[in-house]
Amino acid sequence: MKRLVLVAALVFALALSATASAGSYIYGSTRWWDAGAGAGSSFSPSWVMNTFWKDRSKWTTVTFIDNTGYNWRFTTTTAGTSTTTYWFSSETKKAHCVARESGFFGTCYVYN
Amino acid sequence: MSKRMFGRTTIVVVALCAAAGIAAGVVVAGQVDILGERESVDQSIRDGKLTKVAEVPGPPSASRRSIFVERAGGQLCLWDAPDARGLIRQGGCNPESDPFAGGQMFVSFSYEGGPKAQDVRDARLIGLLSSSVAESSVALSDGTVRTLALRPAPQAGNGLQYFAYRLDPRDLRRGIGPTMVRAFDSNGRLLDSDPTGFTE
Repeated sequence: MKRLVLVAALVFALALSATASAGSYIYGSTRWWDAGAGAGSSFSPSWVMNTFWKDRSKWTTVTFIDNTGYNWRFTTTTAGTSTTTYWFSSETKKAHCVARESGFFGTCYVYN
Repeated sequence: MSKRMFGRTTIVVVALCAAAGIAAGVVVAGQVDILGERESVDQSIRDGKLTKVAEVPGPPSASRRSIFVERAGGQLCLWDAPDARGLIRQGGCNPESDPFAGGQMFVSFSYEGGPKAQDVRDARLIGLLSSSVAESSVALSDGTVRTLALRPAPQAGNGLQYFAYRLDPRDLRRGIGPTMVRAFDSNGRLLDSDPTGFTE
């Protein structure tokens, strides 16, 4: 039975990775945003670029959060139609985005 | 018989898991597909050339940071970065056809630390402004207002101006940060205002 569970898990993981593998990953789904709303990715050492893309110029913040002190790293806030930050490090981190204004259509995504 | 049954069960379970994995992958890949067009713009921006406008002033102990502009992928990007070569940069982009997104300035606020205001350090406020702006200021969370010195930025475009302001570390330690940037014309009329999202 243990072997069956192991094989099943392996098959699921392989099928998922083969179908979904890509350089970028959406962690803040494409939707209308309200001020104060945020989203976060999973923790990974491979994330390097974090972007909040918007259909219009609205104030948003993007940052990385380390998994040691949960500190914000390389934070930036802009009103551009995209807000981007980079952190090249093997440290385990998560991407995080926050809307500072309401009323726009946008997506948060991270590249590895 | 039981061996044969187990074998069939195994095949069914494995097939179901494969189907579930593919289905989950399709959902993830669907999200990635949305990024298709965006990825090509991002690639152009990653490969684009950064033009230095000015250094962000600060004491010798402060991180060395400069303002850069970049025109790539139909975008005009404003970056706060240590140099033009690497990909260590923080900022954003607007369409090149409308660099101020209907306003008169494009502002970026970058820092280390947080999210608590008292934990913020090495904070920089940079901006690119239209030629219509005669004066600009930043309101801090303690209620004070600081004038932002405007300087020409011909590297960024005809008639454009910039400001580069490094927050005082003593203010940051007290949890004081920028809350609003304002731009005025030569008659003192408010042309544009941008909240920075900084909260105590």
